[in-house]
Amino acid sequence: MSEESSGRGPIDAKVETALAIFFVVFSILFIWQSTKIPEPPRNISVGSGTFPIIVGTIMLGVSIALAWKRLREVAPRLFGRGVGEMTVVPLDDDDTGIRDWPAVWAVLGSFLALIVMLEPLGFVLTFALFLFGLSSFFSPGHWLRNLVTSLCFSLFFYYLFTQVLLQPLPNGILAPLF
Amino acid sequence: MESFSGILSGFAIALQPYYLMWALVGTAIGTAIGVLPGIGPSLAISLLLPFTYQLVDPVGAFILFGGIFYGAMYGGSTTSILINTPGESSSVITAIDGYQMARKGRAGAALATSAIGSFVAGTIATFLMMVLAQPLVDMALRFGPAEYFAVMVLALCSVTGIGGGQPMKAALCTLLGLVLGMVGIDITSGAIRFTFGIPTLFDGVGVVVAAIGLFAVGEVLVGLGNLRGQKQARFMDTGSLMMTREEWKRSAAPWLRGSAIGFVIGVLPGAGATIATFLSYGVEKRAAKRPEEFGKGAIEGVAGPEAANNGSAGGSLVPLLTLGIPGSATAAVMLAALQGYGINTGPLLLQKHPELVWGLIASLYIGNIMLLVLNLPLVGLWVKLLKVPEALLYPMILAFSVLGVYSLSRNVADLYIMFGIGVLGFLLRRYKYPLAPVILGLVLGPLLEKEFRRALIGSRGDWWVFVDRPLSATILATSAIVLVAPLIGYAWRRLRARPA
Amino acid sequence: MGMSRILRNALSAAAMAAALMSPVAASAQANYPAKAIELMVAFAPGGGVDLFGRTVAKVLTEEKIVNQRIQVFNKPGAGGELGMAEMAGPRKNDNHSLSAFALHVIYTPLTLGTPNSYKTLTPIAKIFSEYQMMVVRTESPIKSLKDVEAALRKDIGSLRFGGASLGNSDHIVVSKFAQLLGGDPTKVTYIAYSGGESNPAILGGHVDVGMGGLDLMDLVKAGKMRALAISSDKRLGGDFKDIPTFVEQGYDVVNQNWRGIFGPPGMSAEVVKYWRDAFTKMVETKSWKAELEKNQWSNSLETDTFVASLDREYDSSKKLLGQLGLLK
Repeated sequence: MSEESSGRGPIDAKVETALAIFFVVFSILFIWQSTKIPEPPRNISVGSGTFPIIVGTIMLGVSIALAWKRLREVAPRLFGRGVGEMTVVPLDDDDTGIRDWPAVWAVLGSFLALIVMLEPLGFVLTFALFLFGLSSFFSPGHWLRNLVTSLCFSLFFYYLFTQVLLQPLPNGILAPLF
Repeated sequence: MESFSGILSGFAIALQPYYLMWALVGTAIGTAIGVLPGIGPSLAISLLLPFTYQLVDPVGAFILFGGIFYGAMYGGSTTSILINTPGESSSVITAIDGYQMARKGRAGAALATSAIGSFVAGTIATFLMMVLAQPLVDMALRFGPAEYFAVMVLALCSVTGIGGGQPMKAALCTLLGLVLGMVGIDITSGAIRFTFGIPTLFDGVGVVVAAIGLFAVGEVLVGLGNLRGQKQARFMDTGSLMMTREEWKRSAAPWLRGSAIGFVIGVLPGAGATIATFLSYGVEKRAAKRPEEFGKGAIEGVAGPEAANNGSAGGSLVPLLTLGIPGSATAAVMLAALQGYGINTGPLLLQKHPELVWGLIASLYIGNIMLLVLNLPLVGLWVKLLKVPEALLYPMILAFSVLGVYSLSRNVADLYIMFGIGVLGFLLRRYKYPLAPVILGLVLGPLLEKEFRRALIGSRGDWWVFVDRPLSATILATSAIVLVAPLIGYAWRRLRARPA
Repeated sequence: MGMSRILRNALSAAAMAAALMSPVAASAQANYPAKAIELMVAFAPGGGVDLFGRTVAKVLTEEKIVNQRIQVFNKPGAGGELGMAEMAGPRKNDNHSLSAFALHVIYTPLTLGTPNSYKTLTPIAKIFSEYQMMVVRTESPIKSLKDVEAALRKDIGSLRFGGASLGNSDHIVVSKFAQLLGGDPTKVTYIAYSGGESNPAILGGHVDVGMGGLDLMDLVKAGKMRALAISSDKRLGGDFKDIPTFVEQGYDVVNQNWRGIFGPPGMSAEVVKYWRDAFTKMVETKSWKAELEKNQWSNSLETDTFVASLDREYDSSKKLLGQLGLLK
């Protein structure tokens, strides 16, 4: 890992700008959806669309202000005089930077796989596979430790929930075994 | 002194070995389920009911349930502090500073301050319940929709400082929370909003689902996204498990304030523990000498809300015992349990079954001591959890989150919602948008809107209803002061600074 | 789920074939249930349906009417729709799954527009009913149903009613009452509360007239509330013997909130019969009667006629909900 990639690169700055603009778009969509809420024929003084529209409008205002501020930072020439701040969030006590993007994609992918496979494969199998897979991705040298821990974790919680707490968990393809 | 002789007879009951045993069992079960994700005290009591009918008399059952109730409040903070995964909405706010303390090697102190704070609050709340039950319940009944609305406004105003130096971003996050809170069936009118026809969304986005997604999932992504090639562990070595002298000093006042706030809010059947914890956090941030430390591991931000959480548990027993009105889901299950024994709850409970009420109150005192004795040694054990290698710990946190959310509803769609909110939370966190306001909006929003509209339905559209009533007007005025006071203080400091 | 469902379907198909071929069909029923029964409650723990499901499981096991373990679990969400969907989907044809429901099997599809209803389940038996009570707090100037009528006749929106959510039994009773007086039920001032939240509102005078289940009796007995009427068709006994029904007072308002047991679609006829017999046996036991008494439930067992009465109720509810503007 080079030092450079530990900070915030140009993509990061773009994503931050995109997020600020996204909130503006989201507010508009939200207000549009709010206006489509049917008002029930009932004598309620404030209808079901009123609060969403108020909140949506305030959110639109706040998000425009944020996006404006952001755009002035990014492109001072286009949007009036720049405020002279840094183009990215200052790095002091930054504990949210990512140095290892492949790892993030791996986590998100395996997390999604865990959710998708939970009911078809059953609790014990998916949880053991997920834990073993992810931990071995990060510390391949300790695969045996990871395997044992994963199996113990899954079996322990399966037993605890189904036998002690009487909360059924999905059995999936192992159903004939249980 | 009616209550004095009452409590003496209560202790005479609760100190019998048989009931002591049930108190111990209850507190142990309560602590355990507090730590387990997705299993709350209400489910635990429901599961136990069939057995208790055969095993214990009503007094024993009530002592058992009281122990579970208090115990779960103790245990609930543990996962919040250690792995940033709140198990219920009332421990969401604990995660903010508690988890930061854990990362700085003060996990032991965070767990200790929440255990001792819970003890203090539990004891104070039980005492107040004993002496003030009747006047308090009379006050609680005066709370109509307008007053509840005012309380929600107060809660919202007092936590405005939660954003930590980014007021615009904090405002946006609060609004995002409000938006999330509007998803689902609108109880006031019966309309369905923003569900896109997906049945899972009809009941709205669960607070626990959102909190786990925002806090735990985001944390795991950041943690694992830096694990390979990192020079030092994200968790500093845990130092002393004990609280330092300074930490004691900083915790004491928040414990007391949190107890009081929690108890008062707990007595109101329509408010709930989560509001109490938010209010306490706001108050502590205002009272603190170094408010800038909040969000970075301020012990006051753990001590206050944890005390408030337990204080509200005690408070919610007041309407239950005096009127038979449950102040929380757990109290509702306890009520059903009593009815299952053929005991008529309601205002006559104390008159007809004094042994039950006083026995419970006495056993809550005893249970609190048991919980402290049980939990302080556990602190050392829990902290060892952080010694699990990070390559295993983070995947386990995710697995734990999935298990918790799934066992709450047995609904895979909730897991997808958690995933989506997790990704959103990751982005927000990365660009310095504070996360706690999202939960604040999600919790307060629906209540705020509901009570506001109820008040207007009741007044048939007369908007003066909010200021006509003295109680509601007073609370709203307090909110205004809370909101404006920092500005005045700021102006005052500027004025004084100028001549110097 | 694919594999296991195929397997399960294959097994049940094989069992059916065996039952058809064997000369004594009864033998297939003799060893039913072959494994633990899973009883689903489509609501969160602590509510009325949860209590119903757990009590049924307890009595059936204790009285040894069913010789297998009955495991109760909760699958809450969307007014019972998520539970109905689980029954109609993954648990289809499963003879070892049951579910506990209330009115929601009729109301949820109507008010939320969801796909599942009692029609996509196998109705087994209606077990008991609960009724609604109309109350005021003791300090209230309203002394009787006549006072309520007088106020509503003058101005249909003049009284604040408080009760459970819109379209719920509480709301239905108030609406039927308003309709009877010739008023438009959508003009009634009705404040919806969830759970027991309405009780403090009634006691604090934040609503004028309260609606709720029979558990309000505890507050009536304590002198905090006054009962105006009960929604049953006949006067109830015990604690309720002094409280007149709506009908007795000249208002034709009857409403029952029943609880029933449903199987998944495709449950075999023999198994349905097994459970109907089991419930018929259960309601006669002493311990079940004790539960009824304790919880203020009224026995209203219906087995073979259950489907027909569901159909009737569906039609009348659809009409009323349409008038209330709650149909989706």
